[in-house]
Amino acid sequence: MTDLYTINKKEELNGEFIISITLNSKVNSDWTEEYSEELLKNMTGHTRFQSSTGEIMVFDHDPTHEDILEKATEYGHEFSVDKKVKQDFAYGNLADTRPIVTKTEGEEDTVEYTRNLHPDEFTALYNQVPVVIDLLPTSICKKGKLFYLYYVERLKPTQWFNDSETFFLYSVRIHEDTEEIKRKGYNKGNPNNLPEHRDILGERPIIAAGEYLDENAITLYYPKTLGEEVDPAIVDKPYLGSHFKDDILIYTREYKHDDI
Amino acid sequence: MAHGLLVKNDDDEVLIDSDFKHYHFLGKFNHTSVTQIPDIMEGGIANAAQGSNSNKGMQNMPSKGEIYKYTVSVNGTTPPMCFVKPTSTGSSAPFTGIVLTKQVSTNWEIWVFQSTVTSASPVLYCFSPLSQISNSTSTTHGLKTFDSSGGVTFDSRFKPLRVVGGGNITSPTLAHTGSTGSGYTASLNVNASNVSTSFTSQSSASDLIYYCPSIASACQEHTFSESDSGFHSWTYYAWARGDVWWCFYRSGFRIASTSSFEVNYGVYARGHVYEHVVDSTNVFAGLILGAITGGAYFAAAIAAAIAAGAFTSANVDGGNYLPYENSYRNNSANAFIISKASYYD
Repeated sequence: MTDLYTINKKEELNGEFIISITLNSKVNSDWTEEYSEELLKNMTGHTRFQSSTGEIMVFDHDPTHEDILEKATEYGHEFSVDKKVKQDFAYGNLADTRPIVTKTEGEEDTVEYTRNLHPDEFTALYNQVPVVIDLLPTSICKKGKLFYLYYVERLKPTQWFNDSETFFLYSVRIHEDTEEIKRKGYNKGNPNNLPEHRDILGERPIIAAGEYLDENAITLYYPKTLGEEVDPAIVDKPYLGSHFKDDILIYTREYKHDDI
Repeated sequence: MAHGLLVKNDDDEVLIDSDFKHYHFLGKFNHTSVTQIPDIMEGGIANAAQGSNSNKGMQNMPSKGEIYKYTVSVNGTTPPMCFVKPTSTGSSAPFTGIVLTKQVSTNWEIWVFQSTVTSASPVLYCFSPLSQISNSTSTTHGLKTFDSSGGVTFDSRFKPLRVVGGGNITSPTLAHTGSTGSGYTASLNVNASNVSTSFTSQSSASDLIYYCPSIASACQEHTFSESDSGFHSWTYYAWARGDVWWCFYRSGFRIASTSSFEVNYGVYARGHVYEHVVDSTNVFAGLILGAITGGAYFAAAIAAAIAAGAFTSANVDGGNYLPYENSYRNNSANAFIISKASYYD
C-alpha cells in the first residue's frame, strides 16, 4: 500500500501491461490530520492542498513499485508540491503567526494579540477589560487607556452590534476608566461608498474601510507600497490606515506582522 | 466442385470461381454530408472564487477528424464493398477509414472517417454482387459464370473488382504514448508511430483505391483533481475540482507510396467533464469533498453528465462515446485490398 498512487486498472494486451493510475501530490508538510483539525478549530491560517493526476503507463512486464515511481518521474510528476508555489491558486497560505504591530508616528507601538496564537498575552489583557463581555474576541490590544477588542465576521458580537450592522470585521473600543464603548465595523474595499479623500490619498486603492458607528469618523486602509496587492484580513504585507474625523485627517498608522 | 469454372493465376491464386459471388462495380459515390461528433462537455461552477478556473473548455485538446456520410444505392442484404479514393496520398496525407456501414431502407449508409479536415473529400468506389446490381448492357461477348443454382456469379461486362494488392496491417496499440498531460493541460494528441506494410508496387499512388474498414480503436484520458481546505483570511474554506479529458480514436489508413500502406489513429470523438465545488461555510463538508476526489469522483461526474443527457442530446446516432478506459481494441490483422480507380473511371 502506498499513498503516492492508486492503480485503477491493469490490463495485459499483446504482452503489454497497460496501467491506468492516479498519481497523488500534496503539500510538503509534516502536519498530521489531528494537528490540521486543531489549526482549523483555532482559526489558524493553513492549507491542506492536494492534487491527483490520472496517467496511463505501459510496460513490457508487470511493473514493480520502483518501475511506477521511475515512470512517474519520467512524466514529470511531483509527489510533493511546494505550498508557496501553489498558494496563489490553492487559496491558502500560512498566516504569519507573529502578532500584528501598529505603528503611529510619534506614538508608542501597540501589539494585537490573537486568542489562539498568543493565549498568555491575550488572557492577560482580556482580564483587564472593565466590562462584562459575552463573547471572547478573536484578538485584543491596548493603546493608552483604550482596549480594542476585535471580532471576525463569524463571531459577531451581538452584545454591541444589531442584526442590520453587518461587517467583515468588528471592533469595540472600551475606555479603561470610564467604560465608554465606541463601535467600529470594517468592510473589504469600500462597499458603503465612504468618502475616499482622494485629495489626500491620491489614487491609492482602498483595500478596506472602517466605519465608526458612534461618531463621524472613518478609517481608510491601503497598501503601504503602491502597486502591491494586500489582504487586510491576514495582513500578508504591511498596509496603512488613515483616520479621518469630521473629514479631517487625524493620523495614519501602519499595520504589519512583527516580532514583539 | 462437380461442375463450374475455376480460374487461377501462376501463383495458384483464384481469379474467378463460378461458385463465388464476385463483386462488380456499382458506382462512384460522393458524400452527401460531412459532420463531426460533437464535443461532450459537462461542468459545474463556471467561475468559482476558489480553486483554478483554468481550461474549463477544450484548450490544448487535439482537433477532431471529420466524418463523411455516403448513401450507396444498392438494394440488398449484402453490404457493398466500398473502396476509398483518398483526398491525397503520401507521408502527409490524412488517415481515412470506413467506420460505419448500415442498411437504411433500400440504400446502404457508409461513414468514412478522415483524421484531419481537408477541403477535398474522399470518394467511394463501391462494389456489390451482381444479384444486387441492376445494370444492363448491349455487349454480347465476354465471360459469364453461373453457380449451381443458376445464379450469375461473374460477368466480365460489368467491371468486376480487380485486385492489385493487399495484405494485413496492424494498428498502433495506443494512439497517444507517454504522459497524458499535466495539471489542467491535457496532452492527448496522436503521437504513436505510423505502422507501414507493403503491397505489390504500382505505377501511380494517386490512382490507388483501398478497401480497409476501420476496426481498431483506442480510448485515452487525462484526469486531474485538486482540493484544498483550511483557514485563510479569517475564513474557513474548502474547494475541490476534478476533471477528465478524453479522446476516442479510430484507426485510419493511407497510401503512403506506390507500394506502402500505412495506418494510425485520428481523434473520432472527445470530451471534457469536470466538477468544481466550493464550500466556505462548512469546513467539514470540504474535508469530505477532498476525501472523495479521485477515481470514484470522476465516475460520479461522468454518470451525472450521462444522466443530464449530454451523451444523447447531440445530433448524432445515440451511443456511448467513451466505451472503455485507457486501452485499445481490435488493432491487429486488419485486412486490406488495393485496386485502381482508373479501372472504373
